[in-house]
Amino acid sequence: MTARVVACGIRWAAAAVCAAGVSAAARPVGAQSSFGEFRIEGGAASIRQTEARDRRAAGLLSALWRAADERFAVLASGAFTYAGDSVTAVQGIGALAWRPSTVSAWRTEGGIAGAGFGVYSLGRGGNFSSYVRQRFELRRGSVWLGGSAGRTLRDDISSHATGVDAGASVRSGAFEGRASFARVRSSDRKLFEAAGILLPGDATTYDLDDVVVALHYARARVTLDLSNSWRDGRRATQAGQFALYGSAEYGFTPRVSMALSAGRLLADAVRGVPDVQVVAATIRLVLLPWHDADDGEASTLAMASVTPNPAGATLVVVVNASAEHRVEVAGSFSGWEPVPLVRTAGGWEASVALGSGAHRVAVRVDGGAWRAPANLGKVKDGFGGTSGIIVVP
Amino acid sequence: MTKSSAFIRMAVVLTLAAGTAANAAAQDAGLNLIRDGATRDIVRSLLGGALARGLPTGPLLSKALEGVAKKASPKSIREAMANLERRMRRANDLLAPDPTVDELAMGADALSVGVSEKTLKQMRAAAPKRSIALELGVLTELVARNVPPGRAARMILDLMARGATGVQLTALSNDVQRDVAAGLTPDVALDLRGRGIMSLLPPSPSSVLAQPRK
Repeated sequence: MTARVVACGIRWAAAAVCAAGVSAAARPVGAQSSFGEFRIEGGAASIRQTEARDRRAAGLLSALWRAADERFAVLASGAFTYAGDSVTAVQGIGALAWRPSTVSAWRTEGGIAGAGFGVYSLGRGGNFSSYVRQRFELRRGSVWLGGSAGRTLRDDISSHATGVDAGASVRSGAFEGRASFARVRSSDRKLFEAAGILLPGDATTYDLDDVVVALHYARARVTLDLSNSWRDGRRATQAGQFALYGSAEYGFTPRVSMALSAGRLLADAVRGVPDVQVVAATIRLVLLPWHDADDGEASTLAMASVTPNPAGATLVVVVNASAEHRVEVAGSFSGWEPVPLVRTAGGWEASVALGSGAHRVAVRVDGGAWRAPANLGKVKDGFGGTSGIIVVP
Repeated sequence: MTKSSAFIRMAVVLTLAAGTAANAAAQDAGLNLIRDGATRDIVRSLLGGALARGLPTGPLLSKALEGVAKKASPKSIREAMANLERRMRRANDLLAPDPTVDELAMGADALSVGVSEKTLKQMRAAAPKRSIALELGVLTELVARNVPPGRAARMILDLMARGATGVQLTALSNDVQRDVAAGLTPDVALDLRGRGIMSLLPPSPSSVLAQPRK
């Protein structure tokens, strides 16, 4: 048993936990007025380091909490992995996304991750990494530029790595495509060798170029992800590798889902984990929020505008949900009777006449929880939620 | 939801808006929209109690319908209505001697978001002879947009003292929202927009206050 196998276990844990972390951090921060989730995940995997012959079984137990409002999104997670004859491997991740205002297209993302592991024969090791990324949201996607740095202690040898990356994503219906380029510079010769990367001579640092193309599909209960990575060596490094990784998740209920994943994950010099091939199955259980009604609204954004007129005002509510949803607005103006929004090119829309005075308004998607439109002042409704408030002169 | 029930609900809304003359009929129609018998009985009882205490039932019925729409439990609806009635009673005292229905509803909302009782008294004192429902509503809206209650109250009182119109007040709230969305903090946005409106208003306050708002 070597530290590499432990690291593989960590890598697998990271693949499971970070996937959620990255998706949470990448989620549009203002996607809903507020959002919170706590979930646990457990499963098993078969892991083989690319240069090794034998496969190792691994078990994972992880917990994740994430929350977001119009401007901030935070995530924290912890994972425990048992792989082969390793003793323990634990990992913690923290991530934050922030944007300067609720309508700003700019978003800053950052995060830190730390892992520690213990092995019978080698004692302890660990790694620490961080990243920061600036993203600009477009109408149907985003572009970003970022950097990362990490330090790893393995076999009593310390190594470090830095990276820069840039990429773009585009959405169309239930699909989202992503392409990115990254250059990583590392002093971690041992890791590169473990990944099967040829290092013809000694150098202080080694460079790698990565291109990743990924496709994400989410509709109803099914989520599919497929990515392919191409790697090329630079600066005293010879590498010509590619790795295909895919996962499929099915939600039995809004709270319980199962994910299967398989493929190859190239060595991560920044986070100090080697190249592995993984087949994994996990069960995910969402413990919070308690209200099922919150589900299904995560990717919608409701906005309201009020235009005064001689008779009072016209309220226009716009929701950017996709076509398969059912969107309604209600408020004191309708006796809290739901008024369906109509489908438009950009989403869903309703226009309502308001008389003079104060009005409360809320929007719901697919019969879920009523929520205040994101850009209105919000007041507690006395039922555990909020309503938007509008005053018409 | 059938067409007939939708018609009844709309009739309830229109009737409530029309005034108190048809209040009882609207109340009955509204109660009939609550399908759960236990909830309907609770709401009817609370509305009857409020009516006996001289409080308007329209806001309470609206709160009940909101609870029904949001699938709240009968207990939650009762608590929400009781809390609203308690705030309306307090607003009735603070906005004495003769607050309007709208003032009571807006006053109760203002108290619910954290506006102080002292502020309600000051607002009434600043405009004792006309309705301040709109001012209360704008104040509530500002606080709901995360402007600190004290800052919002001072600004509204200053604008009232200078005779700001209803259109100016609601424009203030909307402008603050836009500025916050653009990245300003709520209190800075309020200060900025409030100064802008004040620059358009005459400095002499007291003579304007006694007059009805244009």
